[in-house]
This record gives sequence, structure tokens and C-alpha cells, in this order.
Amino acid sequence: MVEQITEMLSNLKVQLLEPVVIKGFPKKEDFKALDRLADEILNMHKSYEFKG
Amino acid sequence: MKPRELKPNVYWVGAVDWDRRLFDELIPLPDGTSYNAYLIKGSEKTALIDTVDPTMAEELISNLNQLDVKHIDFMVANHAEQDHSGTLPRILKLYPNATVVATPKCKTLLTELLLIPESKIMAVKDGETLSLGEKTLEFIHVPWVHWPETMLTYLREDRILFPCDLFGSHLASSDLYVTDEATVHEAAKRYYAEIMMPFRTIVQKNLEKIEDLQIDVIAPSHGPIYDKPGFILEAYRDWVYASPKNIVVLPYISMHGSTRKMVKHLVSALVERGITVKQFDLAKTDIGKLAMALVDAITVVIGTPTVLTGAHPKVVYAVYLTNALRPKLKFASIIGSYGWGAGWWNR
Repeated sequence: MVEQITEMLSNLKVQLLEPVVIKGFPKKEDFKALDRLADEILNMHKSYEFKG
Repeated sequence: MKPRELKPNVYWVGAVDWDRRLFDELIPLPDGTSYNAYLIKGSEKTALIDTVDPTMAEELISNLNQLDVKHIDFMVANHAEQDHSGTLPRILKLYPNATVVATPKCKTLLTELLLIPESKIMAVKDGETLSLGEKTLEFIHVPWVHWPETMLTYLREDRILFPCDLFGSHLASSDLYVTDEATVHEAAKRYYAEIMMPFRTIVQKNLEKIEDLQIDVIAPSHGPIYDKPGFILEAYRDWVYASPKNIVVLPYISMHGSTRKMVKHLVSALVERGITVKQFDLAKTDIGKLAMALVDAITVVIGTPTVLTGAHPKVVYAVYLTNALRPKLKFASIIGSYGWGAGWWNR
């Protein structure tokens, strides 16, 4: 399904950040993974701003 | 609504569509729209700039009658789309001596879409002018805003730009001019996001093309007229040129609450990190709002559960639209929860 969605974004020159895919209701480790994604997004935004 | 004078011998003769709520059977119109047509009476010739959606043809005809227009020499078709050109055939019947003025590409489209005979259409070159006596029309080709045939018309002596859809807004209003900039800014941004954003790089070139024009008034084909054109020109520069901002757009669906819980956590985490988030529950959202949010965002995170081995169909729809609108996004991610069949996530 990740591939299904990324293929549909082919017009956009976007960098894919590691998806967070879980089974069932989110648990402690899943929230940690989401925190890691938030950190990665922050870092990417900062790096983009530095480049720009 | 009755005809209204913009400048001496320049009139708004269009129609306000207060009740329309959907355009192209796709785009929500929360505030209705208008189809702006303009009549210019020169000392020698009379020109009509664009027409109205055929559903409101009577409004245009009534306005022309109220102005006692006995003769139209030129009918300028800035754009072949039917909400502006669709009433041309009726007007041609009422004013059989009129000549339609359009770009060569628009000429072809008008013959194909509206079955207007080629002999009734005069193709004009980029930069060509047409004298109405003491008023002069200049035609500026601006293809792909948002069809391949589009052009702008500039009324030199009154410094009025008639850009058709460019700078427009879907906003029904009893005010001829912009009176509430915040409301019009929102409507114009929605319009830009849905209609113009896919052609952003071309819009850039076209903005450059009109940079040196002396413009007192921008009279678009939808929404209020700009008597302070700097307002909309500045907004367009921001939407078109500015770097994407520190914003994450998060469209999602949750069927049983797991993906929603993930979204809630991620939104909090992003906000704690100083990032602006715009969250959209795709079960309820207005896609125009989503499109508007995409204008400025740098990242999109898509939240979806699995439905029959794939993404939720409403997510697929939103992703398709996001891709088609070609916003400035630089980063993307996906979050979601499945109940069974983990293998599908990797396909």
C-alpha cells in the first residue's frame, strides 16, 4: 500500500520519509515511532530552510 | 443584478450565481460564484468581454437590453471554457454582425466546443491591438492559465486588465469591488489552489509578462473586481514564488479509531517541535480547504487504514488530487494501522 500511494504521487518531487505502519491500536513503541517521524520531519524542514 | 459602471462607458454586465455549490461536478463552491462579462462602448465600436455560464444567459441579455445595446462589433473570448464562452452562440444570434475575437487556439476550441462557425471568429496574435475609437484593446496571450488557449485583454486608456480566470475567485457578492480583503483572499486562494496551482510555473511566466503593464483595475471573470490590484498581485506572488513554509498537511481517514489515535499523537509531536499542522478528516473535509492548505506546505503525511487490500478509497482520491494539483511539497510520509494482512502494506 505504501507503494500504491507513492506511485500516485509521481508528479511531485517529494522525498519519502519512513512510514509508520502498525497493527491494531497504537502501543507504546508505535508512539515512539511517530515521535521519530516528527523528529525526522523537523530535521528535514530545518535542512530545507538551511539550503534555501 | 443590473449593469454597473466601472469607468465611463465600461460596464459590468455579468451574472451572480448565489446558489451554485459545485463546479465541474467536482469543486465545492461554499460561497457561490459569479460570471463576469464586461461591455466596453468605444466612440466607434462596442466590445463585449467574455459572456456568462449558459444557465444565466438571460441575466447577460437583460443587462445588455438595459444598456440599450443595439450593436456589438466584437465579442472577446479570453477563454473557451463554457462558463465564459457558453453564451456566445446566443449572443451571436442576437447580434449577428458581431465578430468573436480569440487566440488561434481558442478559435479552434470555440468551433469544436460550441460549434461557432470559423468565419465568425477573428484570431488575434499576442500583443495585437483593436481600436474601438478612443478606447484600445490589447490582447496578451497567456496559455495554460488554465487552458491552452487563454489570453488577457487590457484596456489601455482606462488601464483595466480583464484576465478572465487568472486572479479570479468563486465568490458571489453584491459588491462590485473587493470590500473585504480577508474574505476575497480566502476565496482567491481556494481558486488558485484548485485551478491555477497545477500550472504554477506557467503562472510565473505570465505574471512576468504583465509586470510592466500599468494596471488600475483587475476585472476577473469570477468574483469581485480589484480596484487595488496590488492586493491580488502580491497574494499571487506569494502563492507562486515563495518557498514552502514550515507546515505539515495531514489528510487522513480512520475507520475504527486506530489511525485517528496515531494522527492525534503525531500532530501533538509536530506542534511541540514548532511545526504548523493542518489536519483533514477526509470523511468530512471540503477538498477546497485541503487544496488551499497544500499551497504553502512543505510536507504531507497521509493517514490511512487498509480497505480490501489497499488504501481507503477516500485517501486514494485525496492523494490523486494532491498529485494533480502539483503543490510545492518537498517531503511525504504515510502512517496507518491495519487489522490483518500485513503483507498488503508492502505492495
